[in-house]
Amino acid sequence: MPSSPSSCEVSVHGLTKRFGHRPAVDDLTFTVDPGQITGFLGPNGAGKTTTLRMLLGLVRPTAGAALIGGYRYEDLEAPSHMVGALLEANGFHPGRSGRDHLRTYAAGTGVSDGRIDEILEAVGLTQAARQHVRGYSLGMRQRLGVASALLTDPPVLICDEPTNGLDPEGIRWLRWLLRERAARGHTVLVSSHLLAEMQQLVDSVVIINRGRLVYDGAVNAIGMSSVRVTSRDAAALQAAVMAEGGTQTRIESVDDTTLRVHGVSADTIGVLALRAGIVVTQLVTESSNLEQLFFSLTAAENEPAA
Amino acid sequence: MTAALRIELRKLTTTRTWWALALAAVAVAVLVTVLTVAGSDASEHPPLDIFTGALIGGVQTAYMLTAIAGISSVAGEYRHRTATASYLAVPHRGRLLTAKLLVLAGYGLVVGVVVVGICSAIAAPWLASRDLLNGTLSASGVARAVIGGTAAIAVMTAVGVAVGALLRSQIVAVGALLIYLFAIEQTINSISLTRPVYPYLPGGAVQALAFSGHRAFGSPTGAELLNPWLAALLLVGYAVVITAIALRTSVRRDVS
Repeated sequence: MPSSPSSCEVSVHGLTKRFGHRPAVDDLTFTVDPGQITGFLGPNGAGKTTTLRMLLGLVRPTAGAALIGGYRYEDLEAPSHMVGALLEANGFHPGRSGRDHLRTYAAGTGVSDGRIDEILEAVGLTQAARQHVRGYSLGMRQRLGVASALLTDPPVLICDEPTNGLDPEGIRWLRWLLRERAARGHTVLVSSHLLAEMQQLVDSVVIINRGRLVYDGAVNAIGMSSVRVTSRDAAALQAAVMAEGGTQTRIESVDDTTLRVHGVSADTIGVLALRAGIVVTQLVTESSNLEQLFFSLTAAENEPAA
Repeated sequence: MTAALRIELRKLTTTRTWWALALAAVAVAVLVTVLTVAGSDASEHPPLDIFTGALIGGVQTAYMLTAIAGISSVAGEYRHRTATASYLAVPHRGRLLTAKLLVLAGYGLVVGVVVVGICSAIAAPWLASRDLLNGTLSASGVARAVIGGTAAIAVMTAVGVAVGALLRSQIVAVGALLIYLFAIEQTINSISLTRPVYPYLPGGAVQALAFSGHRAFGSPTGAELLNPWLAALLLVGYAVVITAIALRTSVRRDVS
């Protein structure tokens, strides 16, 4: 029964996809809320693309459901008005102009040619609008992909590795665009394997590995930064920091002399060390926590079986 | 459905492929008709058969090319990876394929009108001037050749859509079509044991649809052709059955 959903929530319930006997996506469950950017992370081959394609009705799930606003993509009354998709494998006919590509697929949506020229201007393709896609660079194709995803200004945006092929300026522009949409209350789901890039962009993350969910939550909850501190007496420093730190404080030993401290600032650690009379030889704030989390969550499983 | 039809129609009007194939269909059909008329001989056939014989070659080459257009309308989507965009715009795959069948049949109809119109306009006066028609060409016979020939091109374009959907690979589908039309059907029609099957094959049905002779061309003792209405139904049936099989097999498959 085709329906127009009232909410823009994207959700996946017990989603499973097997190719032969190999599960590409294995009993995956998570929810993506509107009003923020959600990163969908995992190593290559983790099942990200397959999951996104199941959300868009392009790949049929073996089990479970992939829903947009509570409905399967093919049951949405006006899917093009509800969901914008920017996918890696989205192709263009080489002998069709960029403008005609948009006009073709928008033919059923009631989008005017004026709006098409507007979006082409917004993605910087006005000059090339009437040229055949055959002559487009990878970056131009990616911009045309963005234009088709945003043409109807849909409340849900699904992007698979969207920064591939974009130059640094294009990546900055895309980031700005995704933030602006999230700020307007839209749902934005972005997959990537580039963690450093994601850290600056996303509000929350869903991390999968080998088709299974390994983390689902806000980036803040992970702790955006940690402090790496090396001292002559790591044990004493650890005791001093733990004595002062709150419930959020967590300390890992990197080696005999080095600690990684979560939940306490470098400034506070410096003060605590001075007070305890401990010599500190290195004190660095690390901001690549998403990456650390990612590897600590996925590394164990990726160890080759002995 | 309206949206799906609009999208398919615009796919056709925004690339040159379709114009090129239509133009090629007309050019080759005219060439074949001219060669057939030039080589016609009064002793061979009754007058109407000479006229329809001149037309049939043109119609057969035309529907070969429009069937390739039909194949490309589906297989080309997989080749250029536009299938993703198409299914995102029209997620219901049966609806998308139905729209393609209708739009491409319409395209075949337009090409058919042009091909049959031009070929008749060349063949009839030329044959008359050479006294080959002998004033016996009946209006109903001409009308049937013109309408039937046009309908045949339209339906065979739709059959091409169905074959493209079933096989998904443009090269495989075009190859299969050409081998079938040039080798398999001709062989079946030329072997006396298999000849009775020929009227039920697409090529035989097209002849029955368009031409007043009771026997198939291509052999002196051709098989008896079907009633034209039955032939039309059979051709539509081919398109529908192949499409139904495609919808349950290849079209259902994941798009990645």
